[in-house]
Amino acid sequence: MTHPETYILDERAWTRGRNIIAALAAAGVAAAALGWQSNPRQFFASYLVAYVSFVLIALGGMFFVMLQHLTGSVWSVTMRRVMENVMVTVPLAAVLFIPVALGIPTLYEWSHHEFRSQDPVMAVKMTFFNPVFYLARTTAYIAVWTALALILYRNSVERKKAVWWSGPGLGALMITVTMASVDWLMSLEPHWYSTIFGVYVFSGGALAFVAALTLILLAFRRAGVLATAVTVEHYHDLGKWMFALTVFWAYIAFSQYLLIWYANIPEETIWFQHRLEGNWIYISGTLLMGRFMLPFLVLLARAPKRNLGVLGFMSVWMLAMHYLDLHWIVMPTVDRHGFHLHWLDLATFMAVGSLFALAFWYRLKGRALAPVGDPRLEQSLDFKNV
Amino acid sequence: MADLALASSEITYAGVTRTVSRITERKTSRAWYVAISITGSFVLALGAMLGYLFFTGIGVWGNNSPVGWAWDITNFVFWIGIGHAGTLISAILFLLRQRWRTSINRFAEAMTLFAVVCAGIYPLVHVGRPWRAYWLFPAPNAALDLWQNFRSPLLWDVFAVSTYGTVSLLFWYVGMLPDLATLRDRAVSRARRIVFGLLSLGWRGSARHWKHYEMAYLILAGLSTPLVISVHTIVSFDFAVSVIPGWHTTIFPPYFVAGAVFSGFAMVVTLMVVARKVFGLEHLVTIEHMDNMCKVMLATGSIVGYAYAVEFFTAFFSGNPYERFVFLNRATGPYAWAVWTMFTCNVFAPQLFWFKRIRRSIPVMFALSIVINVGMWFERFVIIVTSLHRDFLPSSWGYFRPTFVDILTFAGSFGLFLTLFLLFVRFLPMIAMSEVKALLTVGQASGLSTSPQSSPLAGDPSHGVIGEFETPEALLNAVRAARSKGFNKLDALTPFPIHGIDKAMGASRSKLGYFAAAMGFIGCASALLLQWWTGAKAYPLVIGGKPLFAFEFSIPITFELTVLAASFGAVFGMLALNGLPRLYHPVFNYRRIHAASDDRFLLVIENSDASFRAGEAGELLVSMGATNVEMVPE
Repeated sequence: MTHPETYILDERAWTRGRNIIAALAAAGVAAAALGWQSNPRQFFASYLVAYVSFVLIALGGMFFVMLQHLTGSVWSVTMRRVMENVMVTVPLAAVLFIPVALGIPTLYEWSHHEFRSQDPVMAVKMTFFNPVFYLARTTAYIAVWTALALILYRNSVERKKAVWWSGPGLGALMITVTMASVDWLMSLEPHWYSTIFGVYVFSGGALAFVAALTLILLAFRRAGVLATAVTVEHYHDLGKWMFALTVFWAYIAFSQYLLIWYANIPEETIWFQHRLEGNWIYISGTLLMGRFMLPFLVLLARAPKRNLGVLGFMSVWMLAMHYLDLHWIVMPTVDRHGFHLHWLDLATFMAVGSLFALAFWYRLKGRALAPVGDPRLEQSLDFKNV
Repeated sequence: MADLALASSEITYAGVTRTVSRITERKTSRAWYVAISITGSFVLALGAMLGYLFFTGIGVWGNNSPVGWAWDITNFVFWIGIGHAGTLISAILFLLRQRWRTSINRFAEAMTLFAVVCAGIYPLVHVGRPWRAYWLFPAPNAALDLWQNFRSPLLWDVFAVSTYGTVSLLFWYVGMLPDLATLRDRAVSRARRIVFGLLSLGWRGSARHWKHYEMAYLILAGLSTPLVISVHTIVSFDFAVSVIPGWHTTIFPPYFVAGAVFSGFAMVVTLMVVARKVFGLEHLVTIEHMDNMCKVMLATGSIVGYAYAVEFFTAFFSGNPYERFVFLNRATGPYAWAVWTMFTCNVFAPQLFWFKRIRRSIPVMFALSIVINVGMWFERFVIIVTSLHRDFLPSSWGYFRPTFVDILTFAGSFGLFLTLFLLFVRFLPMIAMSEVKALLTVGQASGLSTSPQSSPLAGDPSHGVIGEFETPEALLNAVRAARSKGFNKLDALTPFPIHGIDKAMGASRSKLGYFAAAMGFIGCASALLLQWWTGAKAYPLVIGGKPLFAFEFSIPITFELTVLAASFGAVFGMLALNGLPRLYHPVFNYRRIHAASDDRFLLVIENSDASFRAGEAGELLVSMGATNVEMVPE
């Protein structure tokens, strides 16, 4: 079977795409900067949500790249380069962390000296909760991710062995993501703790990545690139992953909720209490319905997973739910007045999202969008679900 | 993963049949008798210990305040965990298209069943009055019209474990149907023919059978995947819903599941190393398979290590003095020896599997698998006993020591497990022949075939005409040729499912999914109704400050009953759509029908109407390369 595609985005399409993303980025950054001046409290919270949303997508990409290497899976070879391109945007997380770092006093109660000294529980956690150690840890996480992303990307492009790095890499990724979710998100409510929290955050990120990948591939398909290389069979598998991760996320979310609900220990239930008060209860309900029930029912059968329209819609939906999930984790700690979307939510989302998109886009220029040298590419192109 | 290496290339279809079937057909060896007398005497010890327990009471165990749960629950969780590898291999690896599973899945599924049997003993005898154990099942008991407490995770356990046992049995049995038919067709003695004839339910390997069978298998795999996860999740709830530091931690569900898979794979490796040596299965269960299992152990062992680390970190992070105390006490207290045994066996030892040399050394992996089994037993012991032995009040601190009854009961459960296993490997096909055959691709013609047919066909074609082919491709070509000649009532009888045959024969996709979905819905609705009606209407009783009914606590049982009902829908729906059991069928009149479950691909051109051209059908088969073409009477 011959596949006449070149897998390279043509110059004009690339430039047009770049211009659109750059315009969005400029608008987003300008708006966000304005908000930073006028309403810093809201800005930092909105920014943290947007930042974590996109970093998790890039890390989800890294997880998938390593998983594909380890299992030697064939079906995904055609789209592995796109996965890698998403993954390799992760170094940007370092630069974009600066606003979060500046927002520490606003976002994190534990950074206030009087809070730490007056609270007996916090007194024993002093060593862990201080801005310097926090920043040092974050630097370490991002350094690990950057190193892994670059190594995996380079090895894949140069057709060197990427399998070796994937095993230890997966371990390092799990540990750093867990710690990052503790630092960035869990410590927003410094008394609260849940051992499953890292898995919860990461499962959501992996799911968001599959949705993002599907959307990117569908957009390329519309532009005529990778249109014959990524067939309905491949989309079917992406749909299965989306379904499986939806169920996995729900499983983790349910485990966390049920155990805390059942044991009913005040210092734990308070976290959910904040998210069931006022109109937050509707958001909790929306997450249950929208992040689990709806995709579960839609993606259960075979036909919808093979329908690109449905899959495209579900991808947008799952990304929205991913954002809402993180919003639901962050916002109740910063703003006690119930759920509301602020224009800064949109501005920061646009700013962070389009900067990540720009980093992604620059990798595509003149480069093949499929791993053309991979010996299993042909096999992957002909892949069929049975 | 290279498929080539997964079964040696010189193996043929007939070779697979022979290698696997012979184990069950040859004379029982003396070694087997010796082995089963040893394991059998352990079963007797188990019986004696349980008898002693029943007549005396739970006091014969070492359990005492504050350690009210000890070896009993440790062993329960240990055995349930062992069971998880079977379902993981048959279901999850199937869905992930990891085809190396085919050589080991039957073996691991059997292990699951026997492990669940061993696990089931413990809660049953721990209830104190085992003759009242039926009170656990959802029916009002005694004269009081009392209902079960559906809010208790212990009752969730009853539903989870019994659903798991049932669905595993169905999965195992359905998967074995084609192989039971092979044994039936090879049977020499009348007794074997009758036994395997009944067990195989009249399986013919017809294209229709395979279609629904494959769908049933897919549905069962889809249902078993969340089921296997739910079982150990619910086991973890037994501990995690409590408020005991060391038990109440939210990571327990996925951590228990990973640990279960870890211990299960270790047990598969332990047994498989022995079995492949004793039965000469090295060509079917290659070093590649063993290597892959070592990788799974490395992965799951590392996940378990992650969970240990997160637990310790969070205990520190929480700032909660009780949490901190429990974990500090684990690492340095009176049970530190058990904790460090656990760490060494479960986290450090499997790291050796990073090295390919180790993953490919049978003695080393055998030793490591036993180390992991020991470590995983200690993990459960550590979780249960170290969290209890230092109560909130120092006046109620204690130290648990097992009695000889504890020890002998546990040893006896191993005896039971191994006895069941010995019976299995002696009497049933321990490798899924039909699945392994489907993986073989080239060079299959074994040269046994007869010369091309020349004599004209004679006989009664009231059922139709049958011919046999040597390869699936030849069969597919013949199907297409027959359809183009206007023969529309075709059936193919094959030793494994042939992909593309439904399309070639013009058959539609199996509708079995609707059966399973409808049954699943019924199961879901009745579970919710049961819990709401008994808890909030028939016998409202506030327990533990929980609401009379809430979705939170009703989800586990609702899930289990949904899966149970849907599995029944898939299995019985498959049998109904296939018209099984049907012990007699006209095609059994064909002289070489046994080839259809061995190494040949049979095509039946059925007598569809009065104008059936039997002679023309026979010629067509011969012209397409069929041998042994015969008329088959009704």
